[in-house]
Amino acid sequence: MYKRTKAAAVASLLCLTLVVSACGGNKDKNAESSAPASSAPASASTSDSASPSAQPAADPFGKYDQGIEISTVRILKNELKFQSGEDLDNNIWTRDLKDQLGITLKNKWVVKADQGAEKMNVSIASGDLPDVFAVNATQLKQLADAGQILDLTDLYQQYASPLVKEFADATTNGLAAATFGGKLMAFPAGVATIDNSPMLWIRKDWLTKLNLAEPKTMDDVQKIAEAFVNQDPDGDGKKDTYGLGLNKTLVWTNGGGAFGSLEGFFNGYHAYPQSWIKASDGTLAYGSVQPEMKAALAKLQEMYKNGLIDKEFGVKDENKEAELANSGKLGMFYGLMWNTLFPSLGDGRKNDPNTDWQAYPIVSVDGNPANPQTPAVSIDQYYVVNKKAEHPEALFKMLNLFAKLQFDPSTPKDVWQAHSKVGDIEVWGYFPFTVGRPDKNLTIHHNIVKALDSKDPSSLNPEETDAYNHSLAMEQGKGDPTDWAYDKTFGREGSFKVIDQYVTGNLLKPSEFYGAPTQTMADKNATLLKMELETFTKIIMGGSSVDDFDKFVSDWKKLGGDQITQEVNDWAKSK
Amino acid sequence: MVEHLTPGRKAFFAFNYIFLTLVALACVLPLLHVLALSFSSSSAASAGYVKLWPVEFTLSSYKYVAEQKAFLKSIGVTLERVAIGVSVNMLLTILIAYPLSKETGVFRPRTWYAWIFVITILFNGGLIPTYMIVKYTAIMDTIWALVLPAAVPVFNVILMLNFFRNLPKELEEASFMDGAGHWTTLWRIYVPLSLPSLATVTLFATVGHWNAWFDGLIFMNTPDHYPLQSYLQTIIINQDFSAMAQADLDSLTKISDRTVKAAQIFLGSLPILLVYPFLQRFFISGIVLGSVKE
Repeated sequence: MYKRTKAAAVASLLCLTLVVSACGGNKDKNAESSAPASSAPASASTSDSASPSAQPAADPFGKYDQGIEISTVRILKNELKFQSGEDLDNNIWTRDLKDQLGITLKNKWVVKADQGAEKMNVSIASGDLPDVFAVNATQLKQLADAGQILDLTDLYQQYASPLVKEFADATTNGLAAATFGGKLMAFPAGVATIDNSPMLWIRKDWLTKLNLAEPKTMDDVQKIAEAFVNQDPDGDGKKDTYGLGLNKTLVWTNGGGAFGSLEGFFNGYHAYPQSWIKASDGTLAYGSVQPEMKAALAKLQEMYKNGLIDKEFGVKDENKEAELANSGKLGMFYGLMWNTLFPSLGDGRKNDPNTDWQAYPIVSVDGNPANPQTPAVSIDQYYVVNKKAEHPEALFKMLNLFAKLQFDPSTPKDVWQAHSKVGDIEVWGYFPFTVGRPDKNLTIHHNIVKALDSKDPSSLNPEETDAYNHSLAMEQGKGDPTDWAYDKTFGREGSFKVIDQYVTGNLLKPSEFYGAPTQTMADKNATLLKMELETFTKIIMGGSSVDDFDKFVSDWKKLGGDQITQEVNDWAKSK
Repeated sequence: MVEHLTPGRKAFFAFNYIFLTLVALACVLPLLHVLALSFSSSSAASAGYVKLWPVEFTLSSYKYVAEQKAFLKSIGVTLERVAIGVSVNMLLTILIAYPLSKETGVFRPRTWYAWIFVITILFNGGLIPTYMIVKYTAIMDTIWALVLPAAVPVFNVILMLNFFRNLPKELEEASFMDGAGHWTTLWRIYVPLSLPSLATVTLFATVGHWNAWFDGLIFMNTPDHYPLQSYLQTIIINQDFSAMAQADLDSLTKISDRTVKAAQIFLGSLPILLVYPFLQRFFISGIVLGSVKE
């Protein structure tokens, strides 16, 4: 396959030279002047690292005059919609790539997000790799170890535009996670981890009804949960409500459900499940096996025994548990900033228009403030370049183009709009190598609060305008459940207000380990996580005593935990 | 018959009926629940109000599904796959089962061939070699990638082989006496006599092709070419939110549409549900005939 593409490229190049030289005088000059520019990167790619001096000055936005073809693969995040006559190979972005950069993208395959990793694994294992493509952390390490991808260190310095570099720098631990042995092997496309901080969601209308204040300590959380169970907040005379929602994955960190996850609860006890924290002696330690966990588990066991927690949480995923919320039987849960949007708590508002979920910062069990834990990285995809690619710098040219059209203030608003969202069609998603301002969501919150105050949305970009309109509808008292859900996220009192407080108070506690999974992690972590989940679930449900936690800790250490800790600390020393 | 029942036998029947009814309910209830969900409003569905009867009856899910080009396309792909795949399966099954049903004396390398086929049940190349074969034979991203790798269902071959063996030898001898060759004997004597077992094997092949989703995922290069089950798999699996991309917040609100999923799942299983009752009588007699009669 690869050979064929190469042959086609050479053939088309030959044809082009023929045509151009046949067209006489002044055009000949064109062909000559552009030839070295395009052949230089090609020859640079044959040797591993391109030395700057061997090349003419790198132009981050330079066009390939002859036109080149780059092969890639697509893992589609959402259901993409197209205007009539357009498709993935023919749309505003592909036309831009061709007109402005001379790049034609060829998709070797296209899949939906859920199966992307699987399909990519098959491609990697069979050596059927495209020129430029996106992978996850595990695949990145695999490819880097196997030497199948190109060292991008110099190309990044030469070709990435200042805006793209700014994004990469603002991506929490992004460049560090993509660096192996001092070499940058990928471009990290991710977000700031602040978007993943835990918070406490409470039915504000119930608080008001029962005359309760917002929680300040873990004791308040306990009291609110008790009141929600015993004081009949839904007013139907039956004791059919729960105080604290919990889903069967218990924590969100390793791919669990966000609605009813417990990170925020544990953080209140200064325990950090499934996170790597700095121990008192400076080494890195695994949060789930620290003594602070025990007190938190004991409290959960007590709450479960007293009927504050759904008896059936052990078999319910977040969607199922959210049914309790949407049928007006749940008053409080720990979750993340998007929980009014997913699992669509707006549906609960359709069933009962009084429903009003509100996000609050997590609270602490003692005088010390609670530190919300976040993952070490939140990187969606790593963009890598095949070692055999003829135009490796094209990746950065494409990233530059996307960043310019989507985020550069000098881009005219109509151009921006046409590349971002047309009607309800998310045009930006057509582009395979997207980058973004990592703290974009928090910025949306800041900007729309400003606009709501001044009643002037003119400075907002299309996405912010969307959010602004939702909040405005709520302030004018005519919002529907969708407006409400967005307002509770980005609006004045939205979940980002909580995140803003975390950020300004410098409270967040990201995990310290951002390397690719170590060998023992790859071998044993799945088993260890399963044991952890089973032990914690049993303790909470009262099936085993809190002291079983100690046995879990020693088992965890014996069954690979000690070795993982060792490897993580070796990594910390070597970084 | 009924008056001869002893108390023990009665108890057995009672237990049997109760047990089988429970098993049947366990199979039918989830389907009814899905059906009820598909006719309910989305707010009722996400509040868990829907059990076995639609709440706030609406057809909006079905309207939405009818507009989903990808869903309709994937049904087309599956129908094509079943049509081609089952024909190829059946043709090869019959052609392989016939010679293998002969005695070693008649067909000398019989044992050798039989082993070759049996070994493929026990061992296979694994995912990557299969992928590479499909890739280098250039059938990737075509309907043949779904049909050819599973062209010979060895289990079905063994079923057919045993059925052929149990047909009276005299029939074959008589047809040879009348001047027929192997081809005529196979198509004019064996196949017509084997209709019940052929129906069974056809059903196996049809269900197999209808339900397969993994090969579609691996061998097809665009979602447009997915068969139905691969498509359904993309919509019902929970999304992993551990790494959220920038504008995913918007799509989050759309994901939780359970009623639409329910409608698609139900529509997806409807055709095969309709086929079962018609082939079922063959299904029972076919298997029993093939295995017990000697």
